[in-house]
Amino acid sequence: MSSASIPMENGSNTGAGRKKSSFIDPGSLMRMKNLELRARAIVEGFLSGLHRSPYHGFSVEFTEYRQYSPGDDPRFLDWKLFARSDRYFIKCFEDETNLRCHLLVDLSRSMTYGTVGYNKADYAKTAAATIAYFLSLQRDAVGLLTFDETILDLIPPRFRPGQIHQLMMSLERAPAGTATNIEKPLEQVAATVAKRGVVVLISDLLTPIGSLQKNLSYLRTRGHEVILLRVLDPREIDFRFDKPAMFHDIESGRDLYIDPDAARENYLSAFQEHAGAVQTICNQLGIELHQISIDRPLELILFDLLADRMKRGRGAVRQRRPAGGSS
Amino acid sequence: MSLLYGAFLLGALTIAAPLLFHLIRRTPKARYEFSSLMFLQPSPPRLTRRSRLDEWLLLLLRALAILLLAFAFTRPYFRTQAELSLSDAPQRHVAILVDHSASMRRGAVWDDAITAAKEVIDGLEPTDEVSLFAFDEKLEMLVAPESLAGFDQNQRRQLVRNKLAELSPTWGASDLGSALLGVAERLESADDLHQTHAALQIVLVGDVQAGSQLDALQTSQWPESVRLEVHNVIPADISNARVRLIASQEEETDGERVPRVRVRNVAGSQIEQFEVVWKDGAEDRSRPVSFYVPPGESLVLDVPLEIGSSSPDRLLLRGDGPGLDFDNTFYQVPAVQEQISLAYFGSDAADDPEQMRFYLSRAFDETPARKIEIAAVETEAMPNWEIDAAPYFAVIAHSLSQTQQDGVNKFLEQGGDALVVLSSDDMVREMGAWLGGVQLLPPSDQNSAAKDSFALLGYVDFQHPLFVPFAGARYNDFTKIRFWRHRQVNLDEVKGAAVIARFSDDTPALWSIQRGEGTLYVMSAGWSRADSQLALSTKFLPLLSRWLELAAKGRLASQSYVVNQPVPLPTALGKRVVQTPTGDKIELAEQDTVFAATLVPGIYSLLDEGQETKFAVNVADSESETDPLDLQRLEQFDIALGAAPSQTTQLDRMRQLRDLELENRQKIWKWLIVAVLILLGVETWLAARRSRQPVQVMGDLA
Repeated sequence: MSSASIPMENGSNTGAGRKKSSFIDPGSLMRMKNLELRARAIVEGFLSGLHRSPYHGFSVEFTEYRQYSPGDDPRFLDWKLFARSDRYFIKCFEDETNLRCHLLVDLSRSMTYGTVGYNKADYAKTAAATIAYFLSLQRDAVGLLTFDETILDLIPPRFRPGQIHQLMMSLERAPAGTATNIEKPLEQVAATVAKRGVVVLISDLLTPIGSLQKNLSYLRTRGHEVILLRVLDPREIDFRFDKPAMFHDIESGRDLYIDPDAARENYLSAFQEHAGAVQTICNQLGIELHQISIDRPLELILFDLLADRMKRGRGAVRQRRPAGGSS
Repeated sequence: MSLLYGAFLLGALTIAAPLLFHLIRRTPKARYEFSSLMFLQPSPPRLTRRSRLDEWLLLLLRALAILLLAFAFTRPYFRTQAELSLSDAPQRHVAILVDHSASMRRGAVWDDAITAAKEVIDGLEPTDEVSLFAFDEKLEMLVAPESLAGFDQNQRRQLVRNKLAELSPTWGASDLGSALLGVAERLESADDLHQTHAALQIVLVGDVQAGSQLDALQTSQWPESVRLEVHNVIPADISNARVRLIASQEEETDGERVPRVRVRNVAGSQIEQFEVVWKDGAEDRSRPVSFYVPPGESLVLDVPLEIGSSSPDRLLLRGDGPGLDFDNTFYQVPAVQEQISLAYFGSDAADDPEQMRFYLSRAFDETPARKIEIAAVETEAMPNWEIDAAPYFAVIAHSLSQTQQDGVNKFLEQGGDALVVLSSDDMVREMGAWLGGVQLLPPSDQNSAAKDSFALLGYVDFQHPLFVPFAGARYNDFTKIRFWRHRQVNLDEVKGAAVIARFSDDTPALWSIQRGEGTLYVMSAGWSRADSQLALSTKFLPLLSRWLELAAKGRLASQSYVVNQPVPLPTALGKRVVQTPTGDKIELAEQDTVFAATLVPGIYSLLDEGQETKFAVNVADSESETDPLDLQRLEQFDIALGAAPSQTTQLDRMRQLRDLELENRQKIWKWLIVAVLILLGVETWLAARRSRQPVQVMGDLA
């Protein structure tokens, strides 16, 4: 896949970029120590501009009938309709109005890389905090899972007083991990979360593609809507280094002598190939992938999320299931 | 100026190292952390172009220091003496020793050996002396090591080549040990004679088979100065089998004689299937017997022969590999059983195990070659021993009557042999006079201790013909034989008594007296059970056989010999001629006692006044052991294996030694090292001055 085909969302090449002045500069935002304050600042900024958007809210309400097939719970048979038409129909209800959102935040050591005054982990934490805060305002249940090669912290999605504070605390105290292993958290989420919801995975995805497809598709088949936010440092995207140096891999500790002039071309093509592979997987699985440079204003992430939801609401195949008795 | 170790000059190439390091871009000091190197490949270090060397003076100093150091390692020195010439080094003397024993007849071994020998000559240096020897059982000097007057080296070599071409394998066995010793002695003596101090070298060319005799090496010390190089000629096919007739009592069944035959197949042989047949010149004389012998094993089998047919004289083994038939024929003279009569003067019963006759009559089994009958003389009368009826040997175990004494005397005078066993003190007293004055020791001199226990043989004369077969270290132990009783006698008055054995108390046990043509043996103890354990001993039968052999005198003792074994001849009746298997007739001189020209295997006939005696000559058994000899066995005899240094090599060594000595005296390398240290000092000072840091004081100190 050529580099042109990968949409890069950063401060300069999106439509929102033209209104840059109306967003908070991430650099100055990151200087705020308190994560919750940061999140609140972003969300409030976002809400102040929200009136321009015609789309808000996550759910569209309607019910439908579905023909009974053996194995369906007879509790949901519409007996009146049966009386009327002499056919069995199942009443399909909307699951629930509230969204269950799982935030999966990669805190591996590669995420501690950053050249714009803060690192990818800071950005990812802020993004997670922002989404959590925004959703909690909407009274949606938000959960958090931080991981490196193991799962660091797991807070199940709930909506209750103190949940958002717990989330912020968990994000703030999260240590920098070691290598990335994206399989485990995905497996964990897929295995433990029975109810369908939204899974937001924030990671740099700087791992071999390997079994990414299998795990993501597992999530998808469980009915989750998956949004992938890939956060990358600008240097990782353009590899702008000026002189030869020893490059130190902060994940593996390996040292390599690199001449950037000679290596840039290979790097970019390998990087694009990797990115292309990720994109292909996401396309196949119906996953929204956002590749985000960390110098991009954080509010735009919320725009992206809402835009995704809207897109899904319009055309995507809805995955429904018979309404359970519990909420 | 010369160099001792010129190779160290290569070390000077290391001056390229500072230059190269100067040109290679160093590992950068900059270090970037990066999130993941998964998309990156290491860049190769690159040479940067530098048109100008910045610190050329420093570089020059360093290069000079390295150069001087390399030069110091080469250990330079000045030649002050005149050059050594080739004549200063000792010559090399190479003796080529070619095995031409019967086993060299196998396949292409002989041709290969001659080629190998010629290659050795071709490979010699022009100054090397060369001589040529060949051996089988005897060592033959073909070109002497002493330099021949008027012959230069090339002519000598041509002479050696010519002699090699003339040489052909014989039928003899190989006595490698004495051949090697002989050549080594010749080389040494030639070297001593001319005082050349040459490097002496024997080049052995042959099949070096396991059957080679090495006994001679055990008896003599190998001269240290002689080195041995072995050119082992191994044939492509190492198979070989041989056939031998076993001398045993033949069974006769249904009009057939069934002689037994042993076939031996060497280890590693390719062939296992054989056939044995009796032959007579050209025609088969029996049914061929097919059989199977695994490699490394031997098999005894019956090869039946019809009695009526004319006796075949050879046994042929078929099936052995091509070219390996040198030992496949076994010649034998059809045995004519000889009737031997033994007179026994004694009254004891033949079946009384207490007495001597019992053992004597059982000592000699009937063989195809002879049948021994014991004629006992129990009365006092003397049997009629006319010319034909005279016994072969007489054993006298009791006192003889006067007539018997006269009869035996006559028998002895005519050349007969007799053994007197003094079985009692009375017999000593009665026979003492006839035996020439044998007396019992007076009782006061008799050793009572020996009477109470037993006596052993304290002294045996192994030089005496009777005991010669026992002389070997394996057979000369007579201490196992206990004599319970013996007659302690005094031989002071006996004229011409040769004591052959004495007891441990120094009294004679066995002595001989010459009587006319014949010999009279006397024993002071017998082999009856009351007297001794002699009859139970392993020495008993060989001793009796030896007496019979000695009594046979002139008659052909055996009918089977090996090649080059001298054949003892009977006393001449007239003009004697030996006809060899090749048809040649060899006339023998009157005084000849042996016939030594048994050069070829086959049937020989001795013609003496119309009497024809045949004897067979075969290839020695050891020649059939064709497995290669383990060269370590030669090393066990302290033989230095390997090539002696050639004259050029020795010259080189001498030069090296002299150069070492010169260099050791001059020691120029020390001054070079001092120069290197000074250069390094200057370099350090200069480098310190030029470096940015103000280390002037340190530089001055350096």
